[in-house]
This record gives sequence, structure tokens and C-alpha cells, in this order.
Amino acid sequence: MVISSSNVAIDAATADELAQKADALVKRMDELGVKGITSSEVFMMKASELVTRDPSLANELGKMAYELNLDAAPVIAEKLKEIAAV
Amino acid sequence: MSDRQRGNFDEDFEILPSSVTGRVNSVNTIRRSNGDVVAIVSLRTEAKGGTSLQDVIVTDRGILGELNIDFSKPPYLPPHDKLVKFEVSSLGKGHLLATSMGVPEVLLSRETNVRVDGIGIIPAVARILARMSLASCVGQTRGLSGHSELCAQVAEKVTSSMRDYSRVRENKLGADAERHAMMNTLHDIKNGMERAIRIELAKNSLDERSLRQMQHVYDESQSLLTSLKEAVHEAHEDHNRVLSKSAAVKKLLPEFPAARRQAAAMVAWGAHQMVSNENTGGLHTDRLEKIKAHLAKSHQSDQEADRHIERALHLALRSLAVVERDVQQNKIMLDSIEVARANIATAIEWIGGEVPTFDSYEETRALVKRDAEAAVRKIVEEHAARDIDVQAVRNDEGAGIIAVHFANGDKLSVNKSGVIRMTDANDKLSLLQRPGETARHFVGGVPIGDKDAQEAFDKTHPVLSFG
Repeated sequence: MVISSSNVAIDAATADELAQKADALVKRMDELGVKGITSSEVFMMKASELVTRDPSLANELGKMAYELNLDAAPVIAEKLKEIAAV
Repeated sequence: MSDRQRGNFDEDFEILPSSVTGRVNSVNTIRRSNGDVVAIVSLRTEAKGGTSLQDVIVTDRGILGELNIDFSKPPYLPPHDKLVKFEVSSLGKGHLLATSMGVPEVLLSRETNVRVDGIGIIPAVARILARMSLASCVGQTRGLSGHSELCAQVAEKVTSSMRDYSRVRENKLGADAERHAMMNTLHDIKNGMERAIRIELAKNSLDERSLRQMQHVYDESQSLLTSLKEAVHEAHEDHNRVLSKSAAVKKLLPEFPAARRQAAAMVAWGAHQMVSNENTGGLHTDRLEKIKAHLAKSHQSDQEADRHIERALHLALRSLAVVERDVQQNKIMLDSIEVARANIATAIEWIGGEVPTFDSYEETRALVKRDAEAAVRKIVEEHAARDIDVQAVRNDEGAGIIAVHFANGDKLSVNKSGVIRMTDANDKLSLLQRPGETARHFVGGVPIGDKDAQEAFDKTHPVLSFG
């Protein structure tokens, strides 16, 4: 049915948008050296190191913790903010 | 407990039930030669044939099966006066910590059987915050390594003691061993930074910001060491009495709004994950994104942080009200939602907000209506794209029915439960979509993709050829 194919087209567009967003996220994570990290603690460690060197990364990395659905995302985000404020 | 169970845990792990419901009869712990703490929880379960005892094995490797423990009757103290779903983990020394949504609710102990309501919140919140603080201290120390040769030396030593800590975690040596390894690393950071600050100050070789950063790592490691000692003290001293949750929280976080905010955000995030698990049809997707967005914004704005967290908590409450209707038959899930609500109410209290109440029926109706309207809009747009006009629309708010007639004979209707049906010009079903589900398409009333049904349809509707 046309509706069916139309649905597929809409879904494909959404999927494409999501894929592009995910690609951009992965690319940026690769640049920052946090690509492939799935553990909250490892992410926290790496992100703290980066923010200590460059406080301007705090917000971006805090948001990334949520995008990655990390268990302790709220704590990570708050801690990074604290580190950046020192 | 049978001899076989005593003798061979590995075999028993294989036959563990994934879920058991019962009242705790006793808790015993055994430390195995590899260091694992194995806890045997004997549950009194009720079945058709009467009451029986069932042993469940839990290790601090995580949960081998989940325990659903009914604390509703004496001698066990009721945390919520009903059945609650818990995940159980061992704290060692005969203590088991039962958590719900990551928030500890009950401390089970060999000596006292059960301690409830908030007692565990101290070790558990402390544990999450402690692990994150440790990771943060180590990360900051590494980040400071470029400041001076001394800082680089501290970072190297800390990296080494962090490896020991990781080994303890990997080898599952238990909570006590973890705490010791954690404290060793923190001592290395604290002592190293203290020395580095003293020497660098004397040499006057670093700028003010670098010294401030070093002082911050020193302060954070010192503060974590103190709270770790206090958490151990609380867990051991207080497990013989019951603390209310808010009293426990006030005791833990008296003067630190930032820590309270972190804990409140964690509760909202926990509820987000819980709703996310129930979001198979995508009904909650928009709201989940909003919760995430509020939490993400909360860390970007000091002034607005509490407001964003409170909004995230409100949205989580609303979604839980909807999930509650979907899981009416699942008592365990219903009770977990109740626990989540209680946690959210506490979290709202922490950040100084007011706890609203959301009616399950109204919330479901609003969400379903919004979902259905979006689906109808999509179908109308799809028809418009094919140059098929809408001939008539009937929106009966009272009866909760929307009906749309298209020029090509398609008829679309949405009932008050949010079920969308569309029939073709021959009045055969062409689309069916239930709330939170993706649309199913039909040709001549036969589902697309259903091979058997399609074959049956083809047999009864032979293709006629004219030659």
C-alpha cells in the first residue's frame, strides 16, 4: 500500500536524521578520546581529565553522558560543572 | 537448604529462578575461596499447595535472580506495606542491600533479618557518588599532570593504585575490599597533592589557577575519604534501628545543595530508565526526550537547575501514571512504580518543590489522545500527498471519537482508547494501530506480511485471467 511505503519513507528519513546525529556524536567522541566508553566511571575519569585541561568542554561532555544513557549521567554532568568552575 | 546446594553453588547458579516471591526466612552468607560472597536467602513462598521454603543464591557479582520480597507481615518490618520488587546485592559481613531503581530500600542482615526504609540510602547513594568522585579525582589528577614534574609523579602513582582498585572490582573481592582499595587511591591523591602544593608554593612556580585546581583535587579526595569512613560507620552502627528516608538524607546531605541536586537528578534519571524499559511502542518517547533534555539543561544553569530537575521529576511522575495503567496485571511492576513515586516525592522535597498528583486515567487519556491525533494527522498528510482530499471530519469530544472520510472511500476512525482503524472503499480493514504501537497494514482485511493469511486469502480470492 502507498501508506505503507510512505511510512517507510518517513521512518527512513527519521532514521537517517538519527544516524547523522549519531555519526556526529561518535565522530566528536573519537576526537575527544571517549569513543567506545560505556561505563559511567571510565567516562567520568576521562571527562574529568579533559575538563581539568579545558573547562570549556564541561557542558558538551555532560550532555554526552546523557546521550550515551550512562547510569550516572546526572552525577557526571554536575561533577564536570564543578571541575570547570574551579 | 539441601546438601547439594551447600556443596555446589555453580550448579545451583544454573537453576536459579529469575524471580522469586516470598518472605525472608533467613539470610546466610558464605565467602567462597575465590573471595566471592555468596548469600543464601531462604524465602518462605506461598503456592497452591501451601507454604514452602525456597533458597535463593545471591552473590556480590550482581544479582543471580531478582528477589521479590513480601515484607507485609511480621516479623519483617514493612517498608511500603506491600510486595516490592528489589534487586539484591551483598555488602559483605552478612548484609544484603536490597535496592529498587538503584535506590536502596532495605538492608537485610544475618543478625537482624530486615532493616528498612531509608537505612540503605546512605551506603548506596554514597557508593554511587563515591565511585564517581573517585573517578573524578583520578581524572583531575591526570589532567593536572602537565602542570609540573611533581604532578606528573602523583598522576603516575594514582594510575598505579587505580589499577589495583580496578583489579578488586574485576575480581569481585567484595565491598570491604573495594572500599579499602578506594581509600588507598584517595590517600595517594591527597598526600601527593598536599606535598605537591607545598613544594610548588615554596618554589612559586605555578599560576594561581593551577594551584586552585590542585587544592580542589586535594579537598575532594579529603572529603570523599571522610564520607567513606562515615558511610561505613553508618552502615555498621545504624543497621539495628530504622531511620526514615528523609532523616537519612538530611543526615547524609545536610549542607550540600549540589549533592542533594545530584541525588534528585539521579532519581529522575532512574525513573527515566524505568519508563524507557516500558516504552516498547514508543508512546513515551517524546516525554522521555523531554526528561533527558531537562536533566541535561539542569547542569548548564545554576539558577535554573532545581527547576529543570523538578520538571524532569514531574514528567517522570506523569509517565509513571501512564505506565501504571499498562501494567495493571503485574503486581510487582505496580509496586515498583509505587516505590519510584515515593522516591520522586522525596527527591522533589530535597530540592524544595511541591509534589503534584497525577491521575492515571487522565494522564493516559491525554497521552493517548495526543498520540492518536499525531497518527491521524500523519495519515491525512499521506492522503494529501496522494491528492486524496478529506471529505468529512467528525470529532466527537464527548464520545472520544474522531472520524475522517477520504475522497477515495477510505474511512478512518479513532476511538476513545486511541485505537486507530482505517477501512478501504470496500469496507475492508486496511490499517490498525493501537496506542504506543506501530501501524499494521492490511490488504482486503489480510495483514501484510502474514504469509499464511495471505495464502489463505489468495486461495479464496483466485486471480481471474481474461485471455
